[in-house]
Amino acid sequence: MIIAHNDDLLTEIFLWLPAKSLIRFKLVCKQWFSLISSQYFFNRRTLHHRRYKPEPTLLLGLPETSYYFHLKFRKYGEKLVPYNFSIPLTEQTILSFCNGLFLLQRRNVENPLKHCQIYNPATKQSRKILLNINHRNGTVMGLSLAFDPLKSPHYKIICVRGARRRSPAFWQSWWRCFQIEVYDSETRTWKLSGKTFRAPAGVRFNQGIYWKNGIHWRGIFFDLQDSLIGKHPEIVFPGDTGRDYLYDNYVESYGYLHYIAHMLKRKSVMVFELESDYSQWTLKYRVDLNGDFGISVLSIIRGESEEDSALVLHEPGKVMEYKFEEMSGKEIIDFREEAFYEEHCFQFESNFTFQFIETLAPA
Amino acid sequence: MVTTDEKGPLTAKKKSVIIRSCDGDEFLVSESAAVLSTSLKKILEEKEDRLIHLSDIDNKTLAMVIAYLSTHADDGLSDDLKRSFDQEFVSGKEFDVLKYLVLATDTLQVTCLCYTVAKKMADIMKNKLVEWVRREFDIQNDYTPEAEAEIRRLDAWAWDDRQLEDD
Repeated sequence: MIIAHNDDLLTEIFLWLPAKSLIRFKLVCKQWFSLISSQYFFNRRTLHHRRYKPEPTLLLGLPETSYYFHLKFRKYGEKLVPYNFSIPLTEQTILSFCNGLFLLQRRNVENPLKHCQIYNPATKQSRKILLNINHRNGTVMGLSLAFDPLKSPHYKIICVRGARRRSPAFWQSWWRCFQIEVYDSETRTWKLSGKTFRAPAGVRFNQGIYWKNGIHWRGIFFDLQDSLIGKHPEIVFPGDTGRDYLYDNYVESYGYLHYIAHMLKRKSVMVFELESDYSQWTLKYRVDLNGDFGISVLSIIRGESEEDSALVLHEPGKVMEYKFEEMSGKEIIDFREEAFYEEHCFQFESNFTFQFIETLAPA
Repeated sequence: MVTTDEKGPLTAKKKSVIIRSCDGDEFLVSESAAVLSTSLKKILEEKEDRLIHLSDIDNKTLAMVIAYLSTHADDGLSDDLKRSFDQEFVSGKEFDVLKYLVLATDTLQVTCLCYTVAKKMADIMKNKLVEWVRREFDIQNDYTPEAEAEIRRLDAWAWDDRQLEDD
């Protein structure tokens, strides 16, 4: 059969295969191995996924354990599929997940932090990356991963350090000085990036999210292109929302950056979307939740069209999706029969929920 | 055998061409359908000849490709209808048939059909064993047992799956 050695035709077929099958088919013969491993195929596959986005899936982690589950949408009533990592996650904690690559750190934090690890769950490849120790710029405040295969096959790690302490008052003041250091997987080196900057002490630099070639923390962002720090616009709640207990976070999905605010007393969720020119946060969705035991918000899924967009919700024993267009919720998974189920507990958390995708990129 | 395409009797305005398969069957195709294939279009631009002989596409495969081209050349059909035709077109087809189809789309350079067929093939292949793939594509395993064991060891996770099929 002539197809077997026609790289163009094989590429057309391979483009539609999931990472797992591709990795298995490297064993078919040497020619298939080199085609699947090639930079050419990697680039083609990346471009292909820009046009034909794979179905959205989430990775749900049970905090304090090494259990992860793969959650597919549009398949209802199925069981949670355990996702097996090839490296022990009991010793590692996920710092960030970005377009198919994980950034991990040892659970028992060494002081000073000496290294982190990049892990590709599709190829099961991992690489240890040493941090600059004895760095004149002080403590590591947070590490984030920036990887966009559409831009480059290389990734960057953004390390925020508390700038050198000038006086003991530094630790007490509300505003602090920070410095950013960037690791580039292409050159495999760390470089200081941009000037030192001041930010409120409350910014959680360990919760950075990659969006539009920048890392976004609560209220501020770092643009990788220009090595500049910028401020997000103020989030303006509609007039009728008074004080409430808020549970909020940033979530990126399908190229949109969201601020999701769950107002606990009011049982209402507001989803804001950051305009691509950073001019304002626009209130995109507003959902009123009803439930006897309360509901928590895990994530948001966006898609090509409005009808694909949904809020992913959790109540004890269940994961649901709420479709904005249909204005109704639907159960995706009922895990009350599973061994790990605990009554009256929100076992999954938004911080342990990742927008999952596979990549063939090297770690 | 001369087959008219599905658009009914030919009028004087509508030019048509005759395409002959490798086993000698001839198909009468409207020019508007033929030019959806980049290679047929080139041939038609280069020579006046209204008879095109394809030496590596068999009768059965050619009939399918022409049915596809004629449907897509039909201006009376909406894009939605054409999309559902595409779905119908590949559904239920044997892997063997798809292999010949994908080769024909390569020879004739019909990009959109190539996509549709390649996607269907991937769909069938994705949960198959390596042995199945080698058999279907008639590929000899050129790894030494040591090299094969090494690759299996490195990517062990891709095999620890009990859902793989061999038929």
